[in-house]
Amino acid sequence: MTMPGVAPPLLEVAGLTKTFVARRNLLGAPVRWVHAVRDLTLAISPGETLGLVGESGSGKSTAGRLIARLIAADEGTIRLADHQLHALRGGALRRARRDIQVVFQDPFASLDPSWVVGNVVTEGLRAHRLVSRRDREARAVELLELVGLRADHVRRYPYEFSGGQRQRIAIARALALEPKVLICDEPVSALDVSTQAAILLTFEELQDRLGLSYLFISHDLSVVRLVSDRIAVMYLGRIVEEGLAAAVYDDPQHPYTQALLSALPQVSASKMRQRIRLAGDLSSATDPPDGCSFSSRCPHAFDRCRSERPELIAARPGTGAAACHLITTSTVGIADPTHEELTSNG
Amino acid sequence: MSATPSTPTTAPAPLLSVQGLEVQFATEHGMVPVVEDVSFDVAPGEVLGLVGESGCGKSVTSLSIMRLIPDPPGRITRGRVLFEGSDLLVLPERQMCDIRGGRIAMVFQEPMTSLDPSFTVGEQIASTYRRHRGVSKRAAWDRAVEMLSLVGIPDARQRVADYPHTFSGGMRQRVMIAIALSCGPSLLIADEPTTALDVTVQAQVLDLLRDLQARLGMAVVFVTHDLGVVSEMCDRVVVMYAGQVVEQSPTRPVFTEPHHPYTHGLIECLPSEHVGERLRPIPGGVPAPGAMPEGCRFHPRCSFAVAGRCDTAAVDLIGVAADRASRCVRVGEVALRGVEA
Repeated sequence: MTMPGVAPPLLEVAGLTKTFVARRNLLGAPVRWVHAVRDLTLAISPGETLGLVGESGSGKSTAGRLIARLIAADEGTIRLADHQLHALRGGALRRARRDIQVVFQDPFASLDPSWVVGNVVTEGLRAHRLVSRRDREARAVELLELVGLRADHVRRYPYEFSGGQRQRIAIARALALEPKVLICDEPVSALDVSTQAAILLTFEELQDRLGLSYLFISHDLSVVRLVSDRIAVMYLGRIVEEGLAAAVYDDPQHPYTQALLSALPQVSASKMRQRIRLAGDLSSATDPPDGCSFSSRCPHAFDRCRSERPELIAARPGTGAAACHLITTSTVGIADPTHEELTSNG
Repeated sequence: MSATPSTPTTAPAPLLSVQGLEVQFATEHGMVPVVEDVSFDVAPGEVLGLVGESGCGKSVTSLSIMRLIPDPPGRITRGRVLFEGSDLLVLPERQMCDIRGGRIAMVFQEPMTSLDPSFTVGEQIASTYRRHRGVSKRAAWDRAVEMLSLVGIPDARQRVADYPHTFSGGMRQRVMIAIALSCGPSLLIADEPTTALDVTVQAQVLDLLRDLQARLGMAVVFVTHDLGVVSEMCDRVVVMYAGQVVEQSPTRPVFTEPHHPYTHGLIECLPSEHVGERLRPIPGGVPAPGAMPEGCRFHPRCSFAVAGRCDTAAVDLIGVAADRASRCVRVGEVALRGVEA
């Protein structure tokens, strides 16, 4: 998936798959499974932001946790710089994981309430024995100032901070080990719009200063569009479309991406899209439809969609790919299903 | 197609008129006002957006209309809530019970917790209907089926006997709407009704609310933090900040030409409006109740604030046009950029 003439990606994920057991019988043998992530392949270059967007149950958070090796994948490979992350165990894994850190959604749950902030942000440094007792506070202050907090915050407790400030603390903690990649799992979803804007700005400034790569996971399409260079759209465990952010937003190829974008309430009249109504709710990952996982809700589904799963194929050469039979069956490029056509089904 | 009543030549009497509402809450520093001097009208059949960030007082305001503020710690200390000719704040509790769920209905954010898990959805709709209409059980059950199909639940006749846990989040919110609308209220208060839902499901529920509003002609107070939802759903907007109304306006112009610097600041924070640029967040944070700044409550965060004018005396809502008002002494002096039309 790498483009010619471009530096090799910093993070490369291929064929990542994770199935959870949803139910066991009386003897403890599994009888139902959740196919949380299936055959996930993505790459992130140094200094790049890849947005991973999807609704609840799409597998986007599981994908983030798999890539950070917080949980182990059933199949697939994860390469981070020179490390084959998926194959590492024990101490080697711990060392390699310094380069990939996570910021979680809920800053009220992710910070230990009984620790002062200085200890919270240097926990990783202590675990890896990278800081002496004497330098610990100075390093904590540095980290806090890096994310827009003050030196005197270092001895306070998390409850003394607002949601936005707590998320800054969580970011400082993630940056303590000087990672190359930051996995941000819905990092602004719990915040008000003005606080959210301030945190998003901080993410951008940190990227400029430190050259970080982000995997930015969110259900919020507007936020993802703002921060991402490229975007991958997930539906029921699979990437259904990926490409340059502007291309995915301005010219979505997959019917799910089209519906998702059209559902987004907009403030300015010029940005409102003709709404594509989808029937029903998100299908369940315990029992995904055969063929294309979106076929049960897709306004364009035909027989082949219900029997044969479409592969990701280049929909726009150089700028993106989508997994949809409409792309292969149409003769002139992708069928560009007009909105009139789509909404007449609604 | 549209079932909205045609606009009469004179402005209709408001269905709901909130006048000078003040609500206080007990804190460790004593009773502290969290909502002050909040006034607005809702016309019959109108959709009004009540918008603001956490802690601005929008939910307290909407709960006060229904007199659902827990006392203690809260207390409505001033104001009137005129609805269909009576002041709800002085009505005996028994009559208030007739109004709640009957003439004014409410839908909350959390469809997972608002339904009782131990009763079927049919029982929950029917019991509301029987409480207000005193009809037979059979008639109430028929009403439950009718309401479920009205809100777009497939196989309503079968689903009516199912328990809430068998419904998805979006479907539960439809059930909540069915309960709310079962008695034909003239006013629906919807407090963040789609905030917990995924975007495609949110779109379905917003479509449903808009459709039912037009068909049934009820007025809606739509409480939300989401300016996109306001823009698509509401006729008029009331923007709240730190317990006060800071701007009132018809929906379109509040976004294209905001009159209050806070409204302008919110628009500047919207990712969808600033793709390819850096966001310009509002500096600082919301003041705590009981620790409000002197003068305009927004002035410490406002880039247009002028010493001596904005930080001395409390600011009133100032009429800008016949249908617009802003709580800003510099209204008309500063040009605030909005979104493109």
